[in-house]
Amino acid sequence: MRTATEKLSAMWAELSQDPEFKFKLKAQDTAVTLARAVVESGLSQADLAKALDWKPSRVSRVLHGDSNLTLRTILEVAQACDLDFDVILRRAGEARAAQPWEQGELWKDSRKLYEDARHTLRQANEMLRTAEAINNRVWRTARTPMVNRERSEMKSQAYEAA
Amino acid sequence: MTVLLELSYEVLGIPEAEPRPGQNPWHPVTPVSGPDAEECPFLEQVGQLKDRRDQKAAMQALKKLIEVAATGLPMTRFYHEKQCHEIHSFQYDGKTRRIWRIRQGSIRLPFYYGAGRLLFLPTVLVKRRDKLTRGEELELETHIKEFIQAEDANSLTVIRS
Repeated sequence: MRTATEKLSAMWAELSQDPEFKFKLKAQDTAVTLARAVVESGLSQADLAKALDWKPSRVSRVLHGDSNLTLRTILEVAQACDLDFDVILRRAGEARAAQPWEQGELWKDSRKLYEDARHTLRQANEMLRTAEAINNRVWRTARTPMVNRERSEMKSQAYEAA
Repeated sequence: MTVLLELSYEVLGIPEAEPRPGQNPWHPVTPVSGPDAEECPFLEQVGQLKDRRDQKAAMQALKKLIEVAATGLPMTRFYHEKQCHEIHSFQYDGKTRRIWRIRQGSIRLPFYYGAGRLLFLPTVLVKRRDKLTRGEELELETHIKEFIQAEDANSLTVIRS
């Protein structure tokens, strides 16, 4: 499988040298985003066609194709979905910015990260307290003369139990 | 046990961040074989495409499939009817089983809706004509029957990258 993936990776790298292929992928991504916006806004394709006074075939081309959509077309679809849009740039390979319908999931992810961090902090504090107790015990043992060590051990245990 | 590989950008060698999964995403899967599940006929088929147009069409179709599957929304909302529709149905175990397919250029990606929101993709077809031959139909039926048997026996394992 690794070999197959490596082969596909090489194929992808080679195909990506072709500007037309890169453009088609970007156009396809844009269409998928617009199609998702339409679904998330509760509109059917027929509703969109009616709202924009477009033929159903044009709606289909815009939402399902990989053609060169104009900014006007994107704006019209966004507005029909009661949305607006910006051009947000990012570094290649980085995750894209979240869309409005992804905010809820993003919030859940952030909440989970926060809870995980709090749990880790609690564990770290407990470990620190244990380490301090061990450290104190070792120092007390080291300072106590051999004859008193046994008594000191007992005191130490009583202290920790308390 | 039937081992399936979930298709992702990583598996396809696409160096991009995976799409964010929505609620109840679909999981596009394909069978793997070999003692360590190291052989994946589907990926090998894609890797062996010779024609540059077919390579582009296959990669473009798979990238879109992964992106759309992650949304968890009905697949048909992202494709027009000619791009994604039912191509064949057959009777098996008292039920009608429906095979769908995605088309991109000459590339055909037949798939079957499995339990647990799996999209089972047994093979890649390169076709200059749209209609399936009887041989292709029978081959797809065989793959899907094997998948259904494993599903019924609860012996499906999905590997995720």
